[in-house]
Amino acid sequence: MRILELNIIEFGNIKDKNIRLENGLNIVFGDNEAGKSTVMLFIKFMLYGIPRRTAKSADRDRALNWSTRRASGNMKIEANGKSYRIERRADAYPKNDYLSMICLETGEPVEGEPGEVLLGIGIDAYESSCSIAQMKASEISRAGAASALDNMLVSSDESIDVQKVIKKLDEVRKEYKLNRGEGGIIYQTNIEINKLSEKQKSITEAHLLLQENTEKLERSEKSLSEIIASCESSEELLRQLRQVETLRRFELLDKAKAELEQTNSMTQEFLKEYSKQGKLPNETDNATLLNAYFTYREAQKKLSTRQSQYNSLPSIDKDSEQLASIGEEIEAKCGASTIMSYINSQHKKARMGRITAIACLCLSAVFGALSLVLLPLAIAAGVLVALGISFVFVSAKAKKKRDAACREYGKSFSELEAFLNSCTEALRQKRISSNEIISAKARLDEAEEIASASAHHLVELLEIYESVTDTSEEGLRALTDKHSANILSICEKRKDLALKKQSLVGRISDLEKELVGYDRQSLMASMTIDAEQATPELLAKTERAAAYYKNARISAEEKVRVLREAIIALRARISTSPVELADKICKLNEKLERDTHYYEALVLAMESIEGASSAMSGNVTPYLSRAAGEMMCALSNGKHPSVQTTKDLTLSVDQDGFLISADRLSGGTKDIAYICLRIALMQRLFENELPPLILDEALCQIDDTRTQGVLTALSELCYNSQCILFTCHSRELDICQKIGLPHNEIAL
Amino acid sequence: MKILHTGDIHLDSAFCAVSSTEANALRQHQRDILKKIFKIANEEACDMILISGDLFDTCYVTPETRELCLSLFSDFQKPIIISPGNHDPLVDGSFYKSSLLPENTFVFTSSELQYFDFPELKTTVAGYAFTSSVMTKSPLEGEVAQRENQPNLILCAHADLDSVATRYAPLLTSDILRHGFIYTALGHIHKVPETPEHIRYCGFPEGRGFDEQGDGGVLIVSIDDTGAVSAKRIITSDIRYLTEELSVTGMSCWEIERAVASRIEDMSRDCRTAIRLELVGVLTEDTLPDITSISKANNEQVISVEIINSTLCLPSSEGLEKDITLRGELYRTLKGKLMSDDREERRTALLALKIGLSAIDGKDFTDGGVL
Repeated sequence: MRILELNIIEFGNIKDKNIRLENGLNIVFGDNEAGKSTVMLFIKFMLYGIPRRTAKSADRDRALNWSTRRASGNMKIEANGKSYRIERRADAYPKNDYLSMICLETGEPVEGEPGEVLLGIGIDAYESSCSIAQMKASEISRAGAASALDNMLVSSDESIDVQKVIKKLDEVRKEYKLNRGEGGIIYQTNIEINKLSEKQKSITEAHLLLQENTEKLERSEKSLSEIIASCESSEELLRQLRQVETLRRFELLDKAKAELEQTNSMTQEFLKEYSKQGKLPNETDNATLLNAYFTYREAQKKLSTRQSQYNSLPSIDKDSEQLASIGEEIEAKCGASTIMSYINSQHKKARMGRITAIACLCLSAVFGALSLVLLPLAIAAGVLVALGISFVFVSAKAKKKRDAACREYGKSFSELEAFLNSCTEALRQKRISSNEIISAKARLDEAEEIASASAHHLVELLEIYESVTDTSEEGLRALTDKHSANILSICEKRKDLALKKQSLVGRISDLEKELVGYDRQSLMASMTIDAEQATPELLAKTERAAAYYKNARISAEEKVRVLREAIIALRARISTSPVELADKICKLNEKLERDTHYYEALVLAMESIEGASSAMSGNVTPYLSRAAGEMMCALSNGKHPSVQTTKDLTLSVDQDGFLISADRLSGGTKDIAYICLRIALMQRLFENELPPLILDEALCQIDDTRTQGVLTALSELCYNSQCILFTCHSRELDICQKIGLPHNEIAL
Repeated sequence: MKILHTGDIHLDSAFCAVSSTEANALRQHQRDILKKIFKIANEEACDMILISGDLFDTCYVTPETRELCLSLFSDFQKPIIISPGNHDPLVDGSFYKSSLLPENTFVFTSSELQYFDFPELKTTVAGYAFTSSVMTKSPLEGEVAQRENQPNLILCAHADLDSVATRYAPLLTSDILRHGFIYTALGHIHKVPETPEHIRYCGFPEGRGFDEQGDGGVLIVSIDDTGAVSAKRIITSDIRYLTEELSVTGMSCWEIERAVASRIEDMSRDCRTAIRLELVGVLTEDTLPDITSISKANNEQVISVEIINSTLCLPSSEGLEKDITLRGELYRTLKGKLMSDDREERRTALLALKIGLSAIDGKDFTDGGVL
């Protein structure tokens, strides 16, 4: 495709400018701000129009004439063997854009964007390939040059940084869902849905429970009202029955009062009948009588005993009497002991005298024998003989006295002591017996006195009730029994009367207390039931029923209260309608579905871009590397024989056998590499017919030698097409003239 | 004997695509449809109404719906037999356990097969209840109960017919035949499938959105003395939802407007239709159809028109096809999915392409930027 003529009516700072272009190399020369970039923009305007004004593109502002705020012009081109005239107009409003493309051979209008129809590529591809704007050239001169070259290799577009694109996509993806799934919009929406679902479940349960409880409450309230009615009815019946009961108590009171009166009367008669000595005999009188009788009876018994005792006292026999008289004699002398003492002393004296005499004689015999040895002992033996003999006489005398004393009582020495003792004992016994008789007699006399007195007292007591004629023990006992029984009977009767009276008084008092506040007449007047029907059974039954209904009412009221509280609590739990929550959940689910779809699309976009980039690095990139490398080799006079990309898609240039990263290249070399890649890209895109290659100040950083090489290469490349080089330097024109390169010079 | 067979009414449904006020209005409209169904039952002199599940959308029933149901049930006087479904299972506190239900309302209460006898109609209605949202066992399995004086035996059930792995009562046609039901009133499947004359799904009485398309209605089932069954469908829906795709590839805005108007005219047989039209295909970047104005322009002859723009706006699909840059490669990578028969895959690929191209061009590709 070739551009034949540009007719700029008004565009940017240019008005009414006509530019004719030729085949091959066209060098558009002009000072700064002469309008070179504007002409380049005009060509793009003719081919693709001007997009809406956006934050990133100010092309429309630049295109509109500064004074008229319009852009218009036409362009003649030749493509595919035909000539076309493109005419466009535009102003600030995209809707007013006008386009006309006519085939000059046929005069027929041609639909579609001229760039797409004639070049077969979109605006992006156009800007990435055949149009190398001044801005791009300056960009690659700065720090971003290496990445621009990289971008061109991996995406065939210097503006597309695949890694940045993927990074940006991944950032947005993470906003929707983090790698581990916890976090992000989708996660939050899910959390919110779960929360709302839980809430909906809870509120639905509360609603169901509320419904259940409400129905239960209705049933319970109905049941309660029935129970209350039954309760009130039974209580009313009970009240009536109790009223009947109260009236009956009034009747009982009347009856008790009558009975009390009767009892009083009976008591009076009883007093009259049984009073003795001005009073009624009482328990004390009976006790006195009985005591008197018992005293009498005891006295009688005692008298009888005393009599028996007295009569049974033993008499003293003759032997004892005799011994007692001897005893009296002995006692009269000096006593039995004294006698026995004397006799015993004589007996001892006789025995001692005998023993001593024997001893003296024996000793004298010894001394006599010894005196043969010692004469003086003979004297002693003689003394001892004399002593022995004297003691013989003493002993005999004592024995004689003893025996004389024994003979006085006609007893031997050995019997005497026993005899004397028996006499003394007989005397003692005689004296005791005499004392007992005296004592028994005295007691008998005393018993007789007591018996007589008690009988007298008993008779006196009995004669209170009747005259005593029979004073025998039997007679007194019969009378005593009789009157004692009478007294007891009177006491009993009196007690009965007293108790009856007391009971009646107490009952009357109780009834009167119970009936305080009751008006008998009004009670009778308000009676609605037949008193005869008010049986105790009915009362008991009614009381049981009333108690039952009362308990049932308490229970039912409690049930109703519990249900009401439960309903209040449930209503407090129900903050919103489950249906409204369902609406919200539904909306969130829709959002979730939309977000999930977007997320899936986002992931697919990332994967596809990575895949596309990978495919390009295996397909397009090798072609670009090779084609650009060949051109680079030629333009650098063999210094840089190839352009390559590493596995991480970093552009490298072969220099002296070493691959060096593009960011280490000089500005001029980068420019050449850039131009080479762009031309390679263009060749790849337009295999059949190359479009015009448009360069705006693309060679400004390249040295003269390489510029000459580039111009020569461009001239050869565009021999059958067209190259439009915009420059503000005369160097390119000078080089062309110098080396004789054919070119079309256009001055702005 | 005439029976009105309905179900899947889903009273008190949630409506997410509209505001709260509009959602309440739609729920009121559902109640109006229920009134209409009972009116039809009276006009057709039906002897009983069979409700084969999902009368309500959830166990929770709004007070308005509750009152209406009690009133309609009570007024009908003839038997109403309800088989609670998976959406409104018989649980504590549910409407079906209410003591206020009139005497002519018979609700199945067990997940086992139960029978309600109607001697005056010489009919027995068998059925069961979902007692939770899931029922994995068929109540018709096992021995057939022997019943004396077997009258007209009808099954009223909420089930997924001949779907063995379903969680919603997997009834088998063979079991239905084995039990000898002369008519089987089924609910659960909203889009009425092809079934024998005596085994019928009633379908929904009115669609609630574009996922329930077409006319909704009820079945009037006639059973003659010989036990022969015939059924006719009476339309009850006031709204008919229809969704279609419209390919607008290569069209200009004006052509698109004409195509949309023409398609809507074809789709709208009367004013009861709500239309969702999805524009598909590839448009050039400058072709930006004004969806809002197209919708408004065509809104008069139908209830509503919802136009979804699922077109791919490209500078040129041919250009992309030839584009050797990453843009073209992306397009070519996604092309298979873009041309897929699977609508969802196509949708996702289209969105992925829009996102990818926007991201490559450094444009806003977040939700609002590409949709």
